[in-house]
Amino acid sequence: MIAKHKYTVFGFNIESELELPMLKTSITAEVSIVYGKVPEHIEAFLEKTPWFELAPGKFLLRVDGIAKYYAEYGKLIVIEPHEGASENDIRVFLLDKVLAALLQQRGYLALHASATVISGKAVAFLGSSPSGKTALALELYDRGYKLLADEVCAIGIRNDKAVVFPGVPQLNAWKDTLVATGKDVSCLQPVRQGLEKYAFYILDKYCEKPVELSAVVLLMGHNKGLIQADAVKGGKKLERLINNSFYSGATADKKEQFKLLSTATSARFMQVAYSNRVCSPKELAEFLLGELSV
Amino acid sequence: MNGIVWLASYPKSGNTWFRAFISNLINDADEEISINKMKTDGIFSSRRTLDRITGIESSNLTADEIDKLRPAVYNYLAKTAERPLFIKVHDAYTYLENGTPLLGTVQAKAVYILRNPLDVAVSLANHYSVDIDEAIRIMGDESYAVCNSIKRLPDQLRQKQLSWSSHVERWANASELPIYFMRFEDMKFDPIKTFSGAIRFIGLDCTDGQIRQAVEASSFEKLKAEEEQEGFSERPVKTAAFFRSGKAGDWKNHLSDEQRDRIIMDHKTVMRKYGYLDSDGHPVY
Repeated sequence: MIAKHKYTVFGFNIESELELPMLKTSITAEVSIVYGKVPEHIEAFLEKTPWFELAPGKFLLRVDGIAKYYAEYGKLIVIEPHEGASENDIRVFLLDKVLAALLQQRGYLALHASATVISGKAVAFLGSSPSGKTALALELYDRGYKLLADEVCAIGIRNDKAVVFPGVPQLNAWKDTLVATGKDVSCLQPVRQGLEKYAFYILDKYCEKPVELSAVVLLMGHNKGLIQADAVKGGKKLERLINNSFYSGATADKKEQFKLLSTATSARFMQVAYSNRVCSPKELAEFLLGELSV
Repeated sequence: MNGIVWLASYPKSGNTWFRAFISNLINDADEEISINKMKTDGIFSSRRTLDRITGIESSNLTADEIDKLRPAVYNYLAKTAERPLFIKVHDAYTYLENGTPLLGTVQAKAVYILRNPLDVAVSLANHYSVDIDEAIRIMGDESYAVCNSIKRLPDQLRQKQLSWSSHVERWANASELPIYFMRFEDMKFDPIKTFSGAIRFIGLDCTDGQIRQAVEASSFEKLKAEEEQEGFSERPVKTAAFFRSGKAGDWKNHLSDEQRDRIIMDHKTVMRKYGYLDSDGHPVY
């Protein structure tokens, strides 16, 4: 019999046959993660490539050499490991896009973002890799700000307000970023063999409760020496959220999804362009804290 | 002719100029194309494209794992394309361990642009913000690759460029797809004939007038002026200008005799083969 472990993340509880030691433990569970056979295909798909298939309430992902994953109706994830795949590797891809698809299925808005609590409210930092989200989150963590999420940021509605739910309490940071902030990587576990990317646990400054979203910052690269911030207004806010969300097609209830997106647009939005070749995470953090009037 | 047309070259060999020309040629509207809004379709080493098609976060994959995905991703793009995709590539033509070309070769063809390595060295030094000696060393390095750090996440996927000579020869010897070789110097000195040859190879249905118009609209002087006016998003942050000189033979104003001789020593076989050295081993341009 396979042991089952209970955890809490993003405001719900999971019972998992795969150990997820980076998550806080729980007593109950609404979501199951099991080992088993994954469907070959999804019927009536909305989006399909040789690597993933997506329909409302269903998501299938194939990661060569690691595993096939299947998420269904926000309640079940099935993992079919490839022969020889390590649990660590299976975990990495599970907690990334597969969990993001599950979040969308459960009615959350799953953003490709980190999120930090600043002045009691949540600020989400969006951007495709490598926009510097994790380096910025680490810099803010070192300054004493509590982390809510890294890589996958879940937004829902509580009391008619958009809130960010606490995600995986871990930053996956690259060696150069960690060394630049004085961290000793020899004490850290690599995320995967062959990558100098390390799991940095942040349970000491992890926010365990959902926090109201006050601002969304879209990080972009440019080739100028200075940092440039521009307000994002009106319909462009919605466009930015959709463009930076994972698998919006996974949501079954489009009406609720639109309500969530609209509620999230009441936050302040800004677009910040900078060059990571000339601007350090420290300089970026100082600039943003200034812009956010902290 | 749906599928992929690879626009291939070693860096600083005229690839952007050709992309500007293609963009002007295939542009439907009356206005000219801006260098910051070209109509070509990104670069083979785009991380974003690979992540989007595979649904996998490439920042969690090693460079070798990523390389195994790249041919399949681009073969998929080629098969599902509803129009020809013009995609830039600076990678040398290499193979995976199982013998598969790294490049997608299904429903694909390539235009390869090469340029006098004497001029490439000067331009490369400017582009990479290194001195000319370092640029010469890079061009002679058989193992040279960019975006291959494992300690931080590079903006793009790893590109094995190899040496300048190997880059040219590997593309010349690639047998899995049709390739049209074109020299920067011929684009400069005989543009209508050279660009027309490329367009016939690609299979675009264009008149001589359209080609002439696109050549004029993408002249080096125009591209340089545009960059001065509105900037160019592809310029590296530490480089003063992407469009620097655009001349054939400008190397004479920048290389010492020793530097010239070093480049010729490193690359004389390929230089001779493509008309960059005369029978006495002296530079033609």
